Amino acid sequence: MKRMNLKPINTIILLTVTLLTSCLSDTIKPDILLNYTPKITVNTDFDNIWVAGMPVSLEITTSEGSIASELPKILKDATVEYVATDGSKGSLLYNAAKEHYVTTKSFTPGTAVQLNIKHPSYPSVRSLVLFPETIKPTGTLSIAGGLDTSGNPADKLAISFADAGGVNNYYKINLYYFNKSISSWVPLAVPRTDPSLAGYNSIVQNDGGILFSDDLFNGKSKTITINVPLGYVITNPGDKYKITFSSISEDLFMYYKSLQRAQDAKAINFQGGYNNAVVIHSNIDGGLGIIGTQSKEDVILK
Amino acid sequence: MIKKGNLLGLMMAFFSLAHAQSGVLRGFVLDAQSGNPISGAIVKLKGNNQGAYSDDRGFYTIPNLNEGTFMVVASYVGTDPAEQEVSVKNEQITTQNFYIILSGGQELGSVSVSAEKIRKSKEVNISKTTIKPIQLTRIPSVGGEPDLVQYLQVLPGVVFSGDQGGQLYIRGGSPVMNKVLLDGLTVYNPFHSIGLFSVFDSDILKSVDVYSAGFSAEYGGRVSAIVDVKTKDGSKTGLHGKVNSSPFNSKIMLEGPLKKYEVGKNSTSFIMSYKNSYLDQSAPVIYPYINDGKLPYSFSDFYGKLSFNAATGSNFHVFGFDFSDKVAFENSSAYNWKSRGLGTKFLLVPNNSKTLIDGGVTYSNYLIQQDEQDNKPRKSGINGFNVNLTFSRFLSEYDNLKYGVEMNGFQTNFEIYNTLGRRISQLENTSEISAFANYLKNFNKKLLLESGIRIQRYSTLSETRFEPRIRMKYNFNTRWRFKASTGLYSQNLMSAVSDRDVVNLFYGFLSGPEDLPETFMGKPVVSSLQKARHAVAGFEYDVNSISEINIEGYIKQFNQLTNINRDKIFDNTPENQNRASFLREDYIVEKGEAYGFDVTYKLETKQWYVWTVYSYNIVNRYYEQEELVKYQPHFDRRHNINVVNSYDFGKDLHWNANLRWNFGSGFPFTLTKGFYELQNFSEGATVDYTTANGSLGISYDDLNKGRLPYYHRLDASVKRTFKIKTKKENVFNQATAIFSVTNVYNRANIFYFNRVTYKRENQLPILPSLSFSFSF
Repeated sequence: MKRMNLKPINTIILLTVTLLTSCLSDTIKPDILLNYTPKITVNTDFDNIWVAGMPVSLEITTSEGSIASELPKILKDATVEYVATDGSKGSLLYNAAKEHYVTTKSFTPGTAVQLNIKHPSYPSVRSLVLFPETIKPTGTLSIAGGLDTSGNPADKLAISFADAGGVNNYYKINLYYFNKSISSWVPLAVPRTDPSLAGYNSIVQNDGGILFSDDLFNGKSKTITINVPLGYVITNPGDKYKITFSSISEDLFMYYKSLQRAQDAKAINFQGGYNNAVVIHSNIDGGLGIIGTQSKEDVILK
Repeated sequence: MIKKGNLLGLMMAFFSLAHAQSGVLRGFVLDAQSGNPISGAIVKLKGNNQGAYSDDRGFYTIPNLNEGTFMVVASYVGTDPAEQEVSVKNEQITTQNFYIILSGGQELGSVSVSAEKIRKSKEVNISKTTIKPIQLTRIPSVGGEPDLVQYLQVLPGVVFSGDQGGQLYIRGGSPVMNKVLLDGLTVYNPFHSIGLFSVFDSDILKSVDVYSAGFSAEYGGRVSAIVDVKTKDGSKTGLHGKVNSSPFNSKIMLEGPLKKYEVGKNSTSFIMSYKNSYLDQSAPVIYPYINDGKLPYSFSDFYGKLSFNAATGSNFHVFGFDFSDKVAFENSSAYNWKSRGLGTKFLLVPNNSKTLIDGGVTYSNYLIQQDEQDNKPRKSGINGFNVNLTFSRFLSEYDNLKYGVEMNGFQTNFEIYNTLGRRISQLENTSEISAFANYLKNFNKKLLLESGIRIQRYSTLSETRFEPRIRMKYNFNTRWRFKASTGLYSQNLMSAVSDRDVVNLFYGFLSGPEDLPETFMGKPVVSSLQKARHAVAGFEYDVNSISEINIEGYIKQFNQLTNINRDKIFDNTPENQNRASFLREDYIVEKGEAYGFDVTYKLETKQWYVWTVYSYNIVNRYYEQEELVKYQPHFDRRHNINVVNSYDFGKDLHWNANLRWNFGSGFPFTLTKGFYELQNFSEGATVDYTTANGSLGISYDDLNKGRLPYYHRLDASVKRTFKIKTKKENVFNQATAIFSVTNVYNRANIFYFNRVTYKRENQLPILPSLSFSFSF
């Protein structure tokens, strides 16, 4: 067997090089672990999701709130610029009274808007939002034309619309009746009698409305029938109903969906501490938050 | 489904495939003094190119010999060859054993260069690494004593996930996808919780074959890799033993004859080993700087074997083991597992048959328990038997046929309580019957083609799998060889932990469940099995007589994997049927792929041993929720480098220095995207969230999108061996002192990061140790 000719000095050199090489510092930034980098958090006011045809606004804060044991810090000196597919571009400016970044500009359904938000102390963030196409629903009201779950006469409302095929569409339906005596619209809970409003891809909102997807009727015409228990119009002639029907962005739907899942996961733990993390959906690239959009139509039924 | 009759017919067809018309010379090459088999000896006909080399049983066979009388020479590196005149007759088998006198101190583990060269050209050894005991001593080991788990970590494509609770991931396969066999018996948990030690005592090992992909039809029931551990027989000539002590553990090994070996006669021997760790007690004294001296790991391993060796070469072994492990975290969980097994193994060398028969019957039992403060039992057990029979037939110098049958039966018993106190259990009996055939055929001694098929019947699931495996090697010349393999693989065993659990010491098992999701990626899930297909290709190049380079690229497609569903948040009851299936079902289906390449450089002389491996791996997994999600599992290490350097020096080479350096790119982890105040609204709308103190809520980024820092560590050891004279002439006892340092430059390698306390926990820091052993 051939004997290798390695002198001791070569051995020492080899070992020393190996040792020094291995002492090289990380190329991965250590702050990825130890020093949390605060991020810009961008949200639309949830009572004021960006609605097609109406001026838009944003709340911009930082993500440090919880760690710093203080309220989220509102960033007042950010630069917010937008470019839209309708050819417009401009800025949203900080309004101290509203503590929001606002513009008088509104966007039409089908418009995509690219937002770039910069701040000297935080990494910049971007977001691409799309205003859904308007759905033109039609509705009918049949006073005392239906039965509620107890078999009593009920006002029967029906709303029909055509779902665009080939893409996933998401909707929100809200129901109100106009109380003549107080002269205002009173929200009603939308009953979950239609399969599309009762399945996994439907989320009940605090305002009584329901978010739902077109899973069960993609590309087809859809009619949702609602029997209003007891019937307000039966007993109060002159009252009327309003169905607010919105086409909402996928981002907004996914946000609510993930939020719902996170709450469910928090309530029940099957895994003895090994649950997978639930990722809250965000469309803020490089930051946190959600910008939801919707195109809504009101249908008055009387 | 294949009928049993058809299966038998197929086996018989292979059995009767070849009836040589010429004579056969076969036998064993043995150490004349100890009776131990000599692997890698060359047996050649003088003045003729016909010959063979002995395998790890010492067995050689030279088929297709013309009738006549030949002078046959058996040679082994560094020894005087043994010569014998042998008469061979047509249609007859001539048995001739050769006895070689090994020089003092010669290691049986080392293989002669020329025999190794022949072996390389005659075997399709793709994605296979054979580890000999002597190689285990070539790397620095924690605590000084060599350990298999340390060496496995330096193999190409192998990723080790950490010092504590670490597991081996082989070319993209998680631990449950790797079968570890001990003399044919499945060892369900071969590594101790601390991750630095295996259950195997290095002094009982004969060889370890690691098949990291594309393994032959001889092995089945796993979709990723095979680790086949074979133990040696006890000494047939005299009582020998070894005692060892280090800050981590102590051990004793004894071996000796019950009936002494004499040339040409039967012999009986035993070997037993016991090791016991006391790290939980020694750490507060010796390593107080590590986690305040709290290293709550302990284990003990017992192994025993009786061997009966007939003069004809036939043998019979009875062996058993009892391995246990315990981890007790202060004021928290405690884990303990026990693994027991009993088995027999035999080799039959029929006088008038060209077929060797080997097989075994084994029983194995594994139980892990987790103790929580609520005292509710959490356990996972698996126990089962295996019966196997293999027939080996040597058809020509290069060609051979191997076929066999195997039957497995096992029971899994799983019981846990979740945080709501709800009991979740599974008790399943599973049986598998399989048959395989491997036919190795050479074409002009250049191209070796190994065609194999494995028929695996999963009786409990009523599924039968036909798994073709094809492996080939092309010898361009004596230096260059090309090799490739491909095959289908399946398994019906899943882990009680998810592949997404980064560290989970509750290492239990479940039988493949039948209640899988109905669809995956829009297609119906028609099988409950986990399935994969492998493809490997590469080159071997002998740089010179002492060094070689091996380059292999591989892809493993995991067509269907089953995992515990860690997204389950609802009972799978009728009222929850409107929930998405991934929120209520116990198991999920995934698919995945692993691909990459590795480059291995090996240099071996009498004094030097250099082993350098670079591995590049990509592991992707896919699961389905609202949409198909792609992620990299936590063991997806892209770059992995291992450098091993070992040098013997000094008078009579009594000194030895070992170095091992490992570099690995960072593991994936899920980044923290942000924080929020998590308010508890369980009391309804009356909660005043403006004054209530919520807890820290964490907003996560996408699964495993981030990467942890690089891992690197240098280990070193220096060994001094002392020869101690005994009353007998030329017989020495041996004392060894090993000083080893693990993590020489005290690299702070990350173990995990606590998101809430924002504290980084590291792997083990610098760990010096001094160990002593005495062999007689």
